[in-house]
Amino acid sequence: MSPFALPRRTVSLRSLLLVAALLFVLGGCGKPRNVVQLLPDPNGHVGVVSVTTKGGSAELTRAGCAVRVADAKSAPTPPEDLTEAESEALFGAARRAMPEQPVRFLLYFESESTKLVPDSLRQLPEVVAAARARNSLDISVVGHSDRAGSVEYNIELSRRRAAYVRTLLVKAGIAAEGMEITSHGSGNPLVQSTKPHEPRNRRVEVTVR
Amino acid sequence: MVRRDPFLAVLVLCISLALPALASAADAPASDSAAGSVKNISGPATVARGGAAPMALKRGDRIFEKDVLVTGKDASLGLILRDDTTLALGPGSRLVVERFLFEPAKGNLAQVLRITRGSMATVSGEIVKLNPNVARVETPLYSIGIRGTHFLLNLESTGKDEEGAQ
Repeated sequence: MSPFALPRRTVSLRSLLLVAALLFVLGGCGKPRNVVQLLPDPNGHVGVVSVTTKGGSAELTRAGCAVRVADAKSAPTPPEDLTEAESEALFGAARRAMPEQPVRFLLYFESESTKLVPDSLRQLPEVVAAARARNSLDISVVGHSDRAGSVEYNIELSRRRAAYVRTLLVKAGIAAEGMEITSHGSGNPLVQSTKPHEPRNRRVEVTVR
Repeated sequence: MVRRDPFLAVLVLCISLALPALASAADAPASDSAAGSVKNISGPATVARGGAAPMALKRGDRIFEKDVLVTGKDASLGLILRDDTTLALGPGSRLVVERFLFEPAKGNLAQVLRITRGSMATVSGEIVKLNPNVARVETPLYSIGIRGTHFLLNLESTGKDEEGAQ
């Protein structure tokens, strides 16, 4: 047996390992784990996001497609589909922690008053149910008015409308501390109207988060 | 002609120099109105605000511009921002609310989120709907421009910068 046999065998073992490592990387197990994936939104609509590095930019426009980024200097890879298993491994925990979409209610008022129109009064239990179902600790109650009357009067009227809705919600058992009331007066109309009296602008918007 | 009073000039200078210092000395958040709130939380997650030590977060807590949010090893955190953007952080994540401005009636809109590690899921809200040019997510490697709406991102762990909630 040659005295060189042992070292030579060691070398070939080492190169075998090297080849194995290379195959591992080329086989995809070493793909960069810096990944951005686009999904349909809760209404099924698919948007667009762009991913930009110092080396270039890629656009995601198709549901489920993703790009990878190796480092800050390289351009993102062309968009590709991710397997469900890889998407789960990368983003599963974050996806499961996604809050439910907030829900918004529009409650309408009689002219120059804090009296709810009958339909809106009947809708109130729906608001309460949504707040309970979501166990909500963050509810915005924003008062609005139409353009009849002075700016100051309308800010005050909107504030009273919002405060009235809060009172009704608190009476129904919703915690007051998670609720914020704001008054926008006539400055943030739902519809642009030439008439100063516009029933659709006499409203309180309740957002349950 | 108005005579310039050197004393007045010095006084004005002193006040203008002191004002920003006073503002930053106050422990108040960068903006007095909240950027959002914590909707759900699982495992340890913290917020660091105004240079103070990280505090444990709980459901319902308000989130402000400049807050630094960190989730622990097995933790996750769900947030709803004021423009109804929803977002969630996976384990081992760090998010800075760099910029958040939502005053639609005045046209003042901005949303810049910086994530330096971990993973995030998000569905964009009113800000992106009203002006997609003012909304982006930044990471150390890449930035994301958002024209809507639902996307996921992950950053490979570097083993560095692992402070915060454990």
